[in-house]
Amino acid sequence: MSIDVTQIGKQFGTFTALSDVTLHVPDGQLVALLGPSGSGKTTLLRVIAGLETPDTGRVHLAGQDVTHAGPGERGIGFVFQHYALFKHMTVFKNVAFGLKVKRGAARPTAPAIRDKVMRLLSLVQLDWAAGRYPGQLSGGQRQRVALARALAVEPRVLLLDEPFGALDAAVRQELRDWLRQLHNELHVTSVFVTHDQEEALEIANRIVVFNAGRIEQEGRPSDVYHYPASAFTYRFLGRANLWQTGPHGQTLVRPHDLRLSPEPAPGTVPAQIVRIHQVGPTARLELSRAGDLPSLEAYLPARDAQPFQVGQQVHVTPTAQQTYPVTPS
Amino acid sequence: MQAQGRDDEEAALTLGASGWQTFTRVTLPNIRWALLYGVIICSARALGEFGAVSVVSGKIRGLTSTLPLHVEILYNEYQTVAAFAVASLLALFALLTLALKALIEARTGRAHT
Repeated sequence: MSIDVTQIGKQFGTFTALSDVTLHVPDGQLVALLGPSGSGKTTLLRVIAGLETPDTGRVHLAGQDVTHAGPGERGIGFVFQHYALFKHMTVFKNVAFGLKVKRGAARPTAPAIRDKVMRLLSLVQLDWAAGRYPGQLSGGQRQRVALARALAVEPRVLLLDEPFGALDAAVRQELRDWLRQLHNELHVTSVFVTHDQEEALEIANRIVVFNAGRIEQEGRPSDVYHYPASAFTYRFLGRANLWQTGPHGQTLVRPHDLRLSPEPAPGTVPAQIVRIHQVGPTARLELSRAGDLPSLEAYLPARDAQPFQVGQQVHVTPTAQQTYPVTPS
Repeated sequence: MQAQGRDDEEAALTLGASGWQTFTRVTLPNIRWALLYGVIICSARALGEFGAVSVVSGKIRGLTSTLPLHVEILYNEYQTVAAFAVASLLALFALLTLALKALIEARTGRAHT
């Protein structure tokens, strides 16, 4: 089911959470809303869910205006950052909740509910935990229960608010892969909020970058990463060095786009190695340049960094760079 | 309830529950121990009330008196045995309340771990 939000505005007191946000999510996509905290991405997700009412603008799901419909009438599934499982219910009852609260003829029979819940629990590989309480499960398991609970009502849109934000790195990676796989199987239109650019680049079909209540850029992950439209997006999607500030604006360079050589060559800039860190297969070098030029950070494969030592004079040149006009901020 | 946040209620709403279903199936079970605790503490407080009732209500026997007031009335009428009997009843209530309070504290303590 496609999602269309049109010119959404939302104020919290004097704080502008969203201003004039328009976004189209085609059917079956997995879209990441990416941005720093306070940039409006969670508010937009809550507006789509109906948990927040926009001050201006409209929300359409599958072409139908749902701006004033309650969250329960929209056919959405929502997954919260802190799981929001019902602590006093077993895992089974949590997943069954959305089916049991249905009224009249829409409510499935008890055996049908049982079948469906067990099918969903085996989908999230937790059928063995049906009788447990949420308090007895780990964070990753709780989030999988939350996902099964959201899927039980057969949502046409799945909305996830920083779903892996509260989990440790290894579990997060595992759940990312798993969500990607699940989306491939179910093809339900999904929108997830994250402030982790790596997570967004890894699992989304499309990325929407937020900054201060507005959409800064949207596009395919590779396009957004390789062709950031603004200095903000460039800096947000990865580490950035300020190479120089010239008449056309700021020139930014990624740490892995710097080449170092012991000898000068045309276009190189002299620098001194201040520090070398080994981080797994990558060596991170801190370089200081003469005058008031900002210092640089360069990432090299550990093998290539072997000839260099701290204190050594080197010559640096960027292999790729982007220049952005300086915006008054 | 403020400490528990609104996540659970919002989750119930997104799953299609009505306001009433959300209240009876999610909110109320979440606060049931805290609520019961409040009821017991409140009852104990009301049971032991003396000064305010004495001054405001005029302590009419059988109508606007409390157990501690009744103890006082009986004592003033030289019905020592009756006074002590009522006082014992009051002490019994106190012990019962204490036991209930300890029980609920143990249950909520376990629920939070």
